[in-house]
Amino acid sequence: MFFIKFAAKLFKILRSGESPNKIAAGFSLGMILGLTPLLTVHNFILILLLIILNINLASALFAFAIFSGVAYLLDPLFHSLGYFLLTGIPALHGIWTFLYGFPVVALSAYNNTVVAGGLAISILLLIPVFPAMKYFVLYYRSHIDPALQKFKIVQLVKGSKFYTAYEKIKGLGA
Amino acid sequence: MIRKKGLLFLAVLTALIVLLSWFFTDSWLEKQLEDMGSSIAGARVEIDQLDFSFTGVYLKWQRLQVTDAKKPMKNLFETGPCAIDFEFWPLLSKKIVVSEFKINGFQTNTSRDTDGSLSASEKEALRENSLARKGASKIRGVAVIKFAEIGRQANTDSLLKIAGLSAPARIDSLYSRLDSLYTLWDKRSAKSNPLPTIKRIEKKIDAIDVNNLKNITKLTKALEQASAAKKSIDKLNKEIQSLKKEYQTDYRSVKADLANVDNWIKNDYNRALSLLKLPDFSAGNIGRMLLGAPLSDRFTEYLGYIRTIRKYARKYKSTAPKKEHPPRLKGQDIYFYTPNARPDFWIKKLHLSGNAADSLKLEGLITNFVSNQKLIGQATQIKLSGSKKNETSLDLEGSFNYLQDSPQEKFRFTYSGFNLNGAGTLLPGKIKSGTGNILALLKINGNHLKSRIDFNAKQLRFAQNGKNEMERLLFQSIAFAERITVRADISGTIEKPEINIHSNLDKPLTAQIKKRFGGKLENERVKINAYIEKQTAAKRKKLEEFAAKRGLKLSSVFTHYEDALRTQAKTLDTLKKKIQKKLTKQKNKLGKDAAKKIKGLF
Repeated sequence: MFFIKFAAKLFKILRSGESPNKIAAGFSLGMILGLTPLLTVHNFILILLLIILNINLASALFAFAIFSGVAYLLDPLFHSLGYFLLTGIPALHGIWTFLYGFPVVALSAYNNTVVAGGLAISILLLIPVFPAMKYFVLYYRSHIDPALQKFKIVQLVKGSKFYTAYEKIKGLGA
Repeated sequence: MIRKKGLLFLAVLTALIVLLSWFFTDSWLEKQLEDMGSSIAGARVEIDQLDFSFTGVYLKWQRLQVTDAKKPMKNLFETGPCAIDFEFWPLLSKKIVVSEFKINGFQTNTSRDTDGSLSASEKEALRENSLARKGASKIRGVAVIKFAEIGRQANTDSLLKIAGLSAPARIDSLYSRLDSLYTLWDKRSAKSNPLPTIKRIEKKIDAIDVNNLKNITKLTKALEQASAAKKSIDKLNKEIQSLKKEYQTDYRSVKADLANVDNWIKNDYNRALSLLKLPDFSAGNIGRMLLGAPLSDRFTEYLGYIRTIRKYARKYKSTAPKKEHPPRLKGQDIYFYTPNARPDFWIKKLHLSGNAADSLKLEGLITNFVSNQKLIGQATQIKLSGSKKNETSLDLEGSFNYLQDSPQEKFRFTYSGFNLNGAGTLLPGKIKSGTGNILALLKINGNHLKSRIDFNAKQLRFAQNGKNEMERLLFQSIAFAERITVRADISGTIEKPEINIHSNLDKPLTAQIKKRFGGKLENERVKINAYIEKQTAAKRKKLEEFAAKRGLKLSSVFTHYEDALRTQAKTLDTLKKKIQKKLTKQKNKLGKDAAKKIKGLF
């Protein structure tokens, strides 16, 4: 049931009338929230942005759920990368030391290996993820969705529980 | 672009948080600090009327009670009004800098209105978090015998049966091991037996009759045969020598094992003595038995605290710490400091005033309690003093110096003229009256420690006469001595400290004990000795005879092989020489004949 609801949520986001930019922005911010430990200063700022700015919240929550799981699996990688960034690059040592003594920034837990590693990966992923998500939404709406509707399998699915749930959610979203 | 509903939601949320924190911060913080304190103290910690202000940057409370874990209706200590003044800006850099910390009305051993013990689940959590006790090592060389048990009536025979000796089983095991070893060597020596080869060579050599060898060709062939035979004998000799060398190595190890039998028997004897509580009443041992265990326990506890302080000092000092393996999603914090940065935690001054036990008025000052001393360039200093009606005085001076790579701690503690009434933790009985003086010096440099503790007490009277004969004798000796002086020297390393204790009671008490219990103890010793002898003598004799017999047999086999090879080598050498001589003669004769024939031609 969980997977059906989850898939229904994904379809709902993709088929909603929301602009691809807003969906992609929400997805990207949700990814950062998911990939780094939640209780940090940068995530607090991201949550504020999600509340204040007109960004798609559903895609942010969807990305947060997916990438939290990914972060759990990749934790040793984040720890190693964070450790390397914080201790293995002498050129960065001056910046880290400056930030450590800088009010408020010191509270951001940037000196934690998992936060540093997760944030570095998130920022790197942000560059391809935002345009890729935007392109995917457009492509889905113009190509995949109309094609899907023509498939016989979809006709069969329409009579199943899955489709009922989907319709239900779609109806709620309207 | 801006979500109006979102802004409204945020405004409401912020207002709610401000409102809640206005009313509940103090009680929440109070609860957090009480829980944290309880887990450290092992008993309930209570704070009354805590007042925290983020804008005013202070933390105050009216009363703090820390329950004595061993006596839940008593407080280990309590304080009156206390105030901590923070600096504001460092808080935004995740640093706590306390400019002044005042503790007033400090008192120890006060009564509680309610039971301060923790529930079972709280205690379980505490056991896991107790840092001070982690890794604590007991001082070496401290007698573990309980003084009250000395001289207790014991049935030696039944206890010895229960104790069980290990030496007989070990002797049996060694016997089987030697049997297997010698059997193996018998096989190896038989396999390497050179006698059949020697016989074959002998047969070949016997066939050579030097007198019948008339020409050079036959002589040369015989010489070659003799040389080849000699070579074979030399090779065999080499093999036998190498085998003998291996055997000798094994034999040496057998001898070492046999020598261990004495130690096994001695260990059994000592174990039986300790089980029967028959200690060694030598003069040097009395001090240890009297004060060793309690002194060791306290010293170990204090070293545990120093280890904990060092651990945290190291943690905050390192800029490139070792990579750890933290739990998932927790990560590892890396600390970055500049020489001019402020430390993460710093109490500049901590004032203490109050009363210790025995109504002793205390005044103290701790300066520069800091997470990283190198950043402020100063060591942590402790100074505490107290006095009471010019009779009793207490002084404690100490320093924790982590400015150099090698950590150093120094302490000097004097406590003079204190009342010993009711004290009973150091000596094996509760004291009714008496006064005492203590001077304790401790210096730790890196891992090495050196400490001296002088304790003297006078006019000691015990509350009871002693539970047994031994205690009664001890109390009488102390009362007779009027003054006892004890000196403990502790040295070695933090991990393995060693203690040496001497007292003025050592010699007289030893003499008294020997006089009173000497005969009885001696009888028990003789009994133990006889029992062990009975259990081990026959086995030991059998083992030694077996080892000697089999060893001798193998040695004689090797000697026999060597003799046979030597004789054969000698015979071959003689034969070779004989052939060589005749060959030379034949060659010379042939040369002369040839010369004659050549001469006849002309």
